[in-house]
Amino acid sequence: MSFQILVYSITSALLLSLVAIGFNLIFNATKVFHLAHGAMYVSAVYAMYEFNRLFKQTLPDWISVALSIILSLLLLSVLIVVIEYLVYRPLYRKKVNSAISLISSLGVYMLVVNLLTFFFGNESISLNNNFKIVVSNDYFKLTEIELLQSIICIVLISVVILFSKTKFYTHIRAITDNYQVAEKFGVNVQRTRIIALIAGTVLVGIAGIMKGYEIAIEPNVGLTIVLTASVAVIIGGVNSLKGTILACFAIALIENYSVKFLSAQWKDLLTYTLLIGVLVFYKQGLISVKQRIETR
Amino acid sequence: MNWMHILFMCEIYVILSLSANLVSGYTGLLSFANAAFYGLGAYVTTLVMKNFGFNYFPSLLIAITFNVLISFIITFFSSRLKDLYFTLATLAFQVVVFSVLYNWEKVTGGSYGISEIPGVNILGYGLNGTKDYAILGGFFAAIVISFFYFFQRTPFVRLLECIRDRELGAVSLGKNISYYKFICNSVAAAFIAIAGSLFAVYNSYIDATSFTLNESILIVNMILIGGTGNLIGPVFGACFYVMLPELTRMIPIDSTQGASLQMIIYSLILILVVRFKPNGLFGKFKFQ
Amino acid sequence: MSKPILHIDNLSKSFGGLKLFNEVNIELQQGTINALFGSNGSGKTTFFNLIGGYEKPDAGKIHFNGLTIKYHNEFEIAKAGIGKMWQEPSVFPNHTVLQNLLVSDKTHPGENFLNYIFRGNSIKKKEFELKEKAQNILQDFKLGNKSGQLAGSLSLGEKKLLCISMLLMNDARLLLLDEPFSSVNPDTIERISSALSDLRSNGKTVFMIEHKIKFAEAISNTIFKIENCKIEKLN
Repeated sequence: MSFQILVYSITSALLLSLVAIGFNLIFNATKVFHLAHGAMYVSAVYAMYEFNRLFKQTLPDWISVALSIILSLLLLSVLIVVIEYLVYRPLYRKKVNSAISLISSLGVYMLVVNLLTFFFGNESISLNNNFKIVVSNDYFKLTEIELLQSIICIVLISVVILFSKTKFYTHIRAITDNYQVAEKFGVNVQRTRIIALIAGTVLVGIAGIMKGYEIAIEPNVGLTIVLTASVAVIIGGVNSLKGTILACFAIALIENYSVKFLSAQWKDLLTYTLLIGVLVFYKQGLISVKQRIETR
Repeated sequence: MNWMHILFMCEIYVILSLSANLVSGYTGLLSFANAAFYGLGAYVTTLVMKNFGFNYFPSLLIAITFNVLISFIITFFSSRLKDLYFTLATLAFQVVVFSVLYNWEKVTGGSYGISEIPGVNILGYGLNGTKDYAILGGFFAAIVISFFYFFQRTPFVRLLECIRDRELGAVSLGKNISYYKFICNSVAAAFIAIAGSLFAVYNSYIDATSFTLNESILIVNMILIGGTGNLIGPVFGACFYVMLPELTRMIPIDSTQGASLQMIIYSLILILVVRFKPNGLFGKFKFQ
Repeated sequence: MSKPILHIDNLSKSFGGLKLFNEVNIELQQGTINALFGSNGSGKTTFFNLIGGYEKPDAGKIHFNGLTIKYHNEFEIAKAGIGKMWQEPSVFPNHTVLQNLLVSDKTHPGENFLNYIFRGNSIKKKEFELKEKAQNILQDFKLGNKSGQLAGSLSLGEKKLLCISMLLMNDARLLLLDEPFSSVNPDTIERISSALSDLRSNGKTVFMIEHKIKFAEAISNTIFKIENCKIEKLN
């Protein structure tokens, strides 16, 4: 029986990994604590819903779905580029402190989410209600959608890991360490930022769409998702994609097994307490004076 | 428009934003925990009045004490975490407190909240009607404003500003930074408790949905738009944001859309202020 | 007549796998000016951070004025009398020169919250006393005419002088100065040199890292050099 929780944890972890990897790439390339990532997650579902509704009337199902996915991701990419040019890039040029970029990102998150609420209302939407159970044995059940999610996630994650061996990824890491030096070494910071933002947003968009096929989504779920992903990035190490992925598994396991002991309404509480715990205990030495002196 | 009501809400939010300014404007660390303390102030006052039968003023004292004790957590954050991570921790703290207030039905009434909160009784005279409460609120707001007005010119605040501008310099002069952060956080928490308790007895009903992350963001907006580091900024910011919904109320849309519209306006202002006027409209200090 | 104010006892420190100091033993006498030379990257800044309590040694002890330095809180070491000036002098840019000095005092009752309730008068009195003391110091450092100017708008040389005067106001017994003579014009070098000599006459001890050997040598009692993970006395 407890295998079901394990299986579910694995699928959650895989989805979370997409979100967390996206967050990691963006955080490294732009140094912004990109809370708006959560808004992108939710927007993907709404975009998908609307496009699909539009196309289903005239096109066969699978074309409608494919086209909707592509258009939704395209729309998200445009949206994140707009955000970069209007909000993030100017802050980068002004070299503001990191809390300011967090507030700005939070502002963007709130703007997008409330625009969605304004136009679509507060109720949840769901992309598809038919789950067919595909694997069923004594230990656990797996639905079609969960299997599909897992496969797509594994494929994407592998792609990302391959990509992390490329020169482009070292550009991102160079920016993280010291963007001024990176510029001098010929890294095109502006282009790198855009590519990282789009890549991260596409990943989180795919994650959102896949989740939207599994359960109903409402505009406010994005914040918890992005904060959970950020916990994973912090624990796994901002510098390590593999660490982030491992941390996602750890978190998914903790969250899903804990539902056995706490009722579901406290699940959010657990995530946020975990976040505080990680920040306070894991980030030791974050404000060590030595660091402060050296980064003066 | 019920002007007395608006006045009362201005008084509460002036207290809230001046307190938020004490924490963020003087330590330079942006906190999202304000609504959590506001809610705690309201709930503790309410629970003490309803369950132990105390009058308003003793309950208020208990709420203040409770908030100050809880503020040790924030002080702890501020001595261990810098900038971004501090802000993140306060954000998480806010949501944790909200979660507890919203879900712990046995104590807080959960999503049903607590109703029939007793009113204030001063020497036999029971406060009745919005005007009475506006006067009470004005009394407390005056105390808080005077406190900050007096303190602005003192060596204490001078040192606070120096710590904010260059913490390392203050350390090398032998100043105990944690002590100053502790004072800021504790005094702010105490004042916020007052605001929360006023709200509880005025409204006669409280539930957790008044004390969400959105509310904290609103308070942050107040000090960002008005500017930090002085008195006028937060007061302006508070009044501005209390008046704003009155304007949006005039637009003919239904109430959930109205709520979203308000938040849309707030987030736009937030983004624009941070981008173009990080000093706020009147402020002396930029979060840079 | 002189007694050692700083005693470094078998100090060892590695940094990122690189050994910087190996059982260093030196002594500084009170009321002297001392200079530390060494090539770039030899660890001079780390050494000062060790004395100031910003970093912890791997082994050995540092004794200041008879006390052993414990590495808990940096501010306590500063309070005990070790003052530090970095290459970028830490003055408070948004406050005036006078205010910078007023803040530098260690014993102001106005910096304790509770005193406002019980001892308001002592705060006013202290402000008055400190203003006088500050004005005197500013006169000595020839900054008197700038007392109302924002510290952020001073030139680098003036900031250094202000920083040194703040350390004096702070009653620092040992002043650790990181390249006091760098990036300043000859006139300011003269003013800084004479300020340091005055400090020495008042019983303060100065320990400076300097590249400008000529100027340092001119006023120093003792010269130290970092070489091969050891610090040696040169004269």
